Amino acid sequence: MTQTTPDLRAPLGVYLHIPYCRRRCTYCDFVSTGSVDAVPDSYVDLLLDEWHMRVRRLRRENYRLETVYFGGGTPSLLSSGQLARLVAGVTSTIPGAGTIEISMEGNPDSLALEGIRGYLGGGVNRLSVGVQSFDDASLRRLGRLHTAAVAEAAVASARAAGVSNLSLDLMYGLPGGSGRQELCSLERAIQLGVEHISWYNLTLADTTELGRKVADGSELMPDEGEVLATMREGWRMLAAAGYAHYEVSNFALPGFECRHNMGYWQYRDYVGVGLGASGCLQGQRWTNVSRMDAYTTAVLQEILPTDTTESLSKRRREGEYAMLRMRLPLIGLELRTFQELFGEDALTVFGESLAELEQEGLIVVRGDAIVCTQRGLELNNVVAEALIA
Amino acid sequence: MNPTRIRNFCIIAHIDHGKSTLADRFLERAGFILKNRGDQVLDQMDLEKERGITIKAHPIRLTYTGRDGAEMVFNLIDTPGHVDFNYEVSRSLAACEGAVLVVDATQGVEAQTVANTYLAVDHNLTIVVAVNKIDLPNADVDETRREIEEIVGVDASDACLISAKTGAGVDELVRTIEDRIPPPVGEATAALKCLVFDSHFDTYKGVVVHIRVFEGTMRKGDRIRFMATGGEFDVVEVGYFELVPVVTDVLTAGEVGYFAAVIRVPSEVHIGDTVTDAHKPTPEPVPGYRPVVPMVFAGLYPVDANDYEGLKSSLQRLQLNDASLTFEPETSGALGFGFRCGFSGLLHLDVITERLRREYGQDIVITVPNVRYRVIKRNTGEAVMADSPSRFPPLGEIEAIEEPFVKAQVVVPHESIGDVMELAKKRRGIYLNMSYPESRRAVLEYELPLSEIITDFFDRLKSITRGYGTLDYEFTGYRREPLVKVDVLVSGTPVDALSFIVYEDDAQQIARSMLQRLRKYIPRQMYEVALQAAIGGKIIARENIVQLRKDVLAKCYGGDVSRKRKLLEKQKEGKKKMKQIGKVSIPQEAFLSILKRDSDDS
Repeated sequence: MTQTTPDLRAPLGVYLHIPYCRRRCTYCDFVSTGSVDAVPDSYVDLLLDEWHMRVRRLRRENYRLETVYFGGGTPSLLSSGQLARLVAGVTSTIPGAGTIEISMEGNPDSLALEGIRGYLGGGVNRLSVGVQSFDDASLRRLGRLHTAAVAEAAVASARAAGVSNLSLDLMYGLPGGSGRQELCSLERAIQLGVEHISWYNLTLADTTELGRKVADGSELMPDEGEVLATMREGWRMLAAAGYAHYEVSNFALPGFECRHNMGYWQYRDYVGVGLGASGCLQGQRWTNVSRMDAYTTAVLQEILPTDTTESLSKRRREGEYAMLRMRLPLIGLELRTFQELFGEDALTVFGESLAELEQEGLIVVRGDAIVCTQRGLELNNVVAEALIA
Repeated sequence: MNPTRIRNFCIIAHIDHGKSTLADRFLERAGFILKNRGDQVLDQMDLEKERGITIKAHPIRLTYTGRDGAEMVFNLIDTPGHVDFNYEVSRSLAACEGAVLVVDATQGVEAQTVANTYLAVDHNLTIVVAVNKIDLPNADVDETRREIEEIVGVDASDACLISAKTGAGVDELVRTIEDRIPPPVGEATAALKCLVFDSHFDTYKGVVVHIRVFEGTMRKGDRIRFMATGGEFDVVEVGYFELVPVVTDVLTAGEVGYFAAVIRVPSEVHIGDTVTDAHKPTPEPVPGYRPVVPMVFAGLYPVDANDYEGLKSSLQRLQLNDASLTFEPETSGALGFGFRCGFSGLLHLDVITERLRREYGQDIVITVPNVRYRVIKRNTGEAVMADSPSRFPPLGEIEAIEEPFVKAQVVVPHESIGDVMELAKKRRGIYLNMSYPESRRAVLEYELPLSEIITDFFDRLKSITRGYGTLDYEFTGYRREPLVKVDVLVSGTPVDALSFIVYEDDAQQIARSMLQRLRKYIPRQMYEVALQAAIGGKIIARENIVQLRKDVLAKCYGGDVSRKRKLLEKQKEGKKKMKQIGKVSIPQEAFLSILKRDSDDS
């Protein structure tokens, strides 16, 4: 098939937030409600209502739907019927071009073979499983409901159901955990042959249960040197197994990068729908309210449930753009793309900062792009701070 | 004016015990219409309200109808309240014959009240006791009376019971002041003798001098002389203060007011000085004058070198109303161009730097405060005055170092004597004397190095005595002490602004705890940073700031971007306010806080 006219429509990502969980994890500070086994139909209705309100304000002819992402919370608490309604609601409003990536997060304890089949039937073509660890003691400490065996079973079910783009989430730098054990979990994920692995250093928020335990001394965070060694070894293992390190915490076999998340890092427009979700269209950013009663009231009254909006100056947008691009060691900050987007030369905008970062060995110029070195990834905040306004 | 119609007094009260509210009631009864109730007239600066201290005194004349139906004049003189301003307080008290002691009936007697009442008693002032806030349900008048008698040692049996808020009892208080506080004595025909207890700068009139006339008469056109400084001026305006100045062209013995004499330089006017007639001078000045000399010195530097001129003009403007502030240009290798400033004490330093920040919007770095040392040079024996460690000659050229000593009078509650003596000993104090003016309190006299007082002696004293201890000191002279200059090196580079002078025996310990404190202030860098303290070339302490090796946000998805950017922006903004020493960023707080001692340090 040959395309005669180039597609000038901008790619659009859509994020749907499912703020329900069976139990809140001890490290989680996302918007979520615990002790729920299923997503109420009323919430699905609200999501669709909000989506239609948002999409009415878009110049639809300028966009093509690129990706849809179900995040949470626990999206695998959705029934396959609910999921299919949401997918259809979103994809029928804005046409896509080629295959739309439809990703969904799920927890091992709510991913059974039948359910996964239903999701695939509803349109899901990428599944991300929140395994976090293959060590039962660590899983208990994190407040997860599943065991390593349940996680293995979930992966097997996903394969049996026919998921061909499977991702696992794993964490390291856990309180009470050892680097060796965390690397064993990573090794197990690699052995399972999944297409994508998100390998995160735990970010501890003070407001979480685990955060409070660390603050009062009942849990101990591992030594920074040890975490760094674990991180480096994990990165090495993943590279050796053929996973491309395409973002600070994300690794994929060739062609399996998460297109939706790449959209965030490449500064594409996206619409977030649901409790506490956020979106960004042409430099206008917004975040939804995070209280369910407020969200419900607003949407039922046909009012956008927006809590805060932000209109960014050009220099701020340039800074954010650079900050996000420097998280991508493979493509980095492409000078040509920057020029197209902002009409300015990145070398002029960031001038001295770039020279200093290069001198410190944090970044290198590779062809038309500026990319982080390994040290630049390890000290990514230093790089980002230098480039923001 | 007939002195028998005059009453000169001040109000002594703890913060929030109602001094300003009572002053408002006095003003209303004298016929002034106050614009905003609750917005008190006397305290003018925001900083004063916030800290609950009065920095500048404002006299005000109130006119009432006396018992006999004739006019009575009350001069209400406000007083500052902190050890740094003890001298100013004493000069304000010296202008009065009486004081109204206000105690909150719901709070009872507080430490500051005790200290200031003692000071008033020392000045032979007649004390009128007023128990305030009697309208509140939890007011305990009997207990408050008992405390006043037991703790302050003042008869409270005939105390006035008032509510400054509702105005209840205020008329009776006015009568009591008329009846009990003695009128001033003095002859309008005698040689002129006035006490300068304050001044302020007016763009048109120059320095406006606040005075209490003790003897004689001051008229417009008189040629007057300041007895301490010898300066002579022609009086161009004479008057008193209501809410605004009222020109009278004449002030006579017993009156409180002001005069202006085209004095352009604020340093010509010293608080406590005596003003007399240049042609017919009084033989004896008002006793108690002390020249105000800066005791504490610190470097003030603009964070941004471009703000140098702005800082200079801000300092000049502050100096107009504050003759005890001195400054001169100084250059630091680490901090660039700035000013060496002299202050009367640490609080004064605090007040000035806060005003620079808030009122003048200056972003400044303050270096470690120190006293003025006298350094005797080897061979020549020449004495060099150094008010900054960077002005010390090289170690090899120093024969000896002398530091200023003060005679300190510490008034402490009986039960704290042991702890205070222990503190004085640790701070190299030399015991002189102890006396018991009455059973409840002791007066300890020590000779102390001023440098020890300016670090934290006063704070420790207050904490040991739960607020009841008071300190007054006067400079006695220089004394040779085994002192050393400690230099601080950051990554091998000496940072002149961090150098400090310390007692030799304590050098290592203080240097170590100072480096440990400094370490907490300096953000980690991409390289290990060595902090060293050295005497001459010899390293006496070392601390390392470990290298920052990992600093990366694991997750940065759609909803995280904004938060992340704002966090980084805040960090970056913070670093802009730090001083760069080579590649190391040092926050402003570090420069001032490093010499504060931990409570467990000796």
